[in-house]
Amino acid sequence: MKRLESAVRTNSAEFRRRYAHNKGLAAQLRERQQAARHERPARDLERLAKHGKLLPRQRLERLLDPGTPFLELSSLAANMAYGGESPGASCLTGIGIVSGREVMIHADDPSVKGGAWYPLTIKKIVRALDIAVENHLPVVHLCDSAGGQLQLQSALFPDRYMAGRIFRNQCVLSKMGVKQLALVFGHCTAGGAYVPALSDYNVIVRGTGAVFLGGPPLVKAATGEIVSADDLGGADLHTRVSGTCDYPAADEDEAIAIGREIVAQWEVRPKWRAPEASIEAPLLEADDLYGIIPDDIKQTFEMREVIGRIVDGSRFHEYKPDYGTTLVCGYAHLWGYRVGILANNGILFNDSAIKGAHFIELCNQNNTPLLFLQNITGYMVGREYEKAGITKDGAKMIMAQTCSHVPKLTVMCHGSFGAGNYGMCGRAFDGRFLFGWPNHQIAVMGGEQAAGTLAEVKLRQLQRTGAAVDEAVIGKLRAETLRAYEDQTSAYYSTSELWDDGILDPVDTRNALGVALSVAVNVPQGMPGNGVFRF
Amino acid sequence: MAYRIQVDGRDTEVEIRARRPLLRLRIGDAEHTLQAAEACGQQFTLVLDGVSHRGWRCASGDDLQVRLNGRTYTVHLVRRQRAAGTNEGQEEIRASMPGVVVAVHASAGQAVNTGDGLLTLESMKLQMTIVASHAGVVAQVHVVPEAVFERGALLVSFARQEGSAE
Repeated sequence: MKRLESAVRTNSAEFRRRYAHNKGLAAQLRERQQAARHERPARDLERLAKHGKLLPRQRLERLLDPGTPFLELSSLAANMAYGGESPGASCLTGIGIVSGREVMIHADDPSVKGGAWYPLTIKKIVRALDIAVENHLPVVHLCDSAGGQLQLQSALFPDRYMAGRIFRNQCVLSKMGVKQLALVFGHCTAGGAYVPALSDYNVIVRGTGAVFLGGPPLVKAATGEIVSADDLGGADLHTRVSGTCDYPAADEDEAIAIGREIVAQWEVRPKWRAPEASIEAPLLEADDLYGIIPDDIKQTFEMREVIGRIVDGSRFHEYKPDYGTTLVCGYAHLWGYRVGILANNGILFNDSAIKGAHFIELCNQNNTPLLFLQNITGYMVGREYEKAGITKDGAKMIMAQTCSHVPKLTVMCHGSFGAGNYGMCGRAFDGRFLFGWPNHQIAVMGGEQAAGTLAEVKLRQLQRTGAAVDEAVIGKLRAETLRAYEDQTSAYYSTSELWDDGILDPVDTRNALGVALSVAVNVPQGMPGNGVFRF
Repeated sequence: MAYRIQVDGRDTEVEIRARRPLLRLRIGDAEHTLQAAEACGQQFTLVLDGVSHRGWRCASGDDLQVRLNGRTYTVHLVRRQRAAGTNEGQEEIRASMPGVVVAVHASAGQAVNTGDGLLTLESMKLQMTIVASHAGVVAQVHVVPEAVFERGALLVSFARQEGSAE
C-alpha cells in the first residue's frame, strides 16, 4: 500500500495559528479531565479514608493488569449538567485488561454524593453495558453507590433507557454467555442491589460492603425496625445465609485479588476478525494534527492529512480517487486490523453519496470494519441537486450504512451538521464507538441557518395574518436562536449529554481507535443484508 | 492514465497511451513503444523502441531501485495531487457549486503564482479558498464580496499567456 504524502507546510502562518489554537483546546481538555477525575471536596475524601475505602481510580489501578492500556469512556459526561456537581456523571467506565481479558469496567464514584446515581450516571452505565452487549465484552462492576438521586427520580427511573435498562442489560449479557463480576465495596441500595445480584459472580467486602433493597433509613420508615447496615445486608449475612453474594473479602485489596482470579477462570472466545498485518506506526507526525485542524468551523481541511496520521505506516489504498472527490474512501490498517475509511473532504454531492454507499457495500462484502471521519456540513441543497436526486442518493448511503453487519466506528473531526451526520454514522446509527475532538460542533444545521430559517418562517406567518412586521421581534428571535445554538453545539455539551463516548485529544485518536477496534472485532453486527435501496 | 514519477529526484510524467497491440508510453514529451517485457524475479528484459535492455530491480520501502546499463536509479512514484478547488491550466475559473463570495484576494492585472489564494467562497456553511493552479496574470475577477452565484458562474479569468501553445 502506498504511503500518503503530506502537503502540510509546518512553517506557514496558517499552520502555526491553527496549531496554537488546537493545542490550547487540548490543554483545556486535559485540565477539565484532571478536574473531573480528581477534584473532590476534602470532606468526602476524609469520609472515605475513615472507612478504609479506596477511590474508584485507585481500585481500578489495582484491578487492571499492570502496564496495559485503559480506554476511559465519557470522562466529561455531565460536565454541563446539574451545575457541575456530578463530575464524570459520578461514575467511571472504560475498557481495560484484567487477567489477560479485555473487559468493560463500571465503577461507582463514592467521592461524589455517596456515589448516588444522577440521570446521566444511568445513561453512562447503560451505554457501557450496551457496548458490552454489542461487543461481547465481559463486565466488572465496582459497586459503591447510595442509589438513585431521589429528587430526580422521574428523570432516572420510569423510561425505557433509564435505571431498569441497567438490569435488563445485565440479564441479556448473562444469557449471551458474556460474564459479569461485581465487587461490592460499599452500599448497593434499592435498584443498585440488583447489580451484584444479577452479576454471574460477586465478591463483598466485610464491614463496608452491603447489599439491600431498602437501607436502614427506609426500613425504619417502612416498618419501624431499627437495624445496622451490616446486619441488614453485610458480607456475612449474604455469603453465609442468604447466598446473595459469593465470596467474602477482608478488605478491598483482597476483594480485588479474588476478582482477578475469578476473571482468570473465564473462557477466552476467539475474535471474529484477527489482525491481518504487522503493526506499523504512522510515518506522519500525529502532533501535526493540531496545525491541520482549522480554528474556524467554516474552514475546510484535507482529510487525507488526518488519515495519514492515524493509520499504520500512513499507508492508504484509496478507492475511486477521481470520483465523488468530496468523500474520501479507502482501505488502511489500524493496529494491524484492516479498516474501510470514509472521510469527508467537503459537501456530499450525488456522486460522493453514491460512492460512499458503494464503498460501504464493499466493506460489508469484504468483512472489513468501517471508520467514519466526520467533517460534514450536509448533503448539497438546491433545485439542481434535488432534481438529480440528492435526497435518494443520500438515502442510499444511510441505508447501506445502517444495514452494515460490520462494526462501525466514528470520529467527529470538525463539523457534523444535518443529514450528513446520518450518512456518516452519527450517534443514532449503532456505531460501536463514537468519539469527538475538542473542536467539533454538532447540530441539525448551523446556528446562522437556523436563525435565518426561523426568522423567515416568522416573517411569513406575520405577513399571512396581515400583522405588522416588528423588526425587533424578528431580531430577538434570531439572537435567541443563535445563542442557544452556540451553547448546545459544542463538543463539551455533546459529551456532557453522552452523545459520544468521550472527547479525544486528536493525538490520542489512533490509540483510542486501536482499543475500540480490538473489541469491536469480537463479533459482527447481525447478518449481512440490506433494506430496499431507492434507485 | 498519467503518473508522476521521480527518477533520482528528477520529476517525470509517464502516461499510458495504449496497451495494444504494443504498450505505448509518453515519457515527458516523447512517445516510446515497449514490447516483450518479461521479468524473472528481480531481473527483467524489455525491448524499448526496438532496442533490448536487461536490468534488475529491487523494492526499497516505497521506492524502486533499478539497475540498468551499469547504473542504479532510484524511482519514486508521486501521489497525484488533488487539492480542493484546482483549476489546472484553465484560462478561467468557474463555480463548481452555488454559493456566496466571502472575500476577493486578487485583482485584475495582478500576477499570481501557483497556490496563491484568489477567492474565498462559502457554500453549505463551508468556506473554501480558490487558489491559482498555475502562475499567470488575472484578467478579471467577475464577482465582488457578498455576491451570490450559481453553479458554473464565471468567477475569475486569466490573461492568455504569450507564447502559449494554442
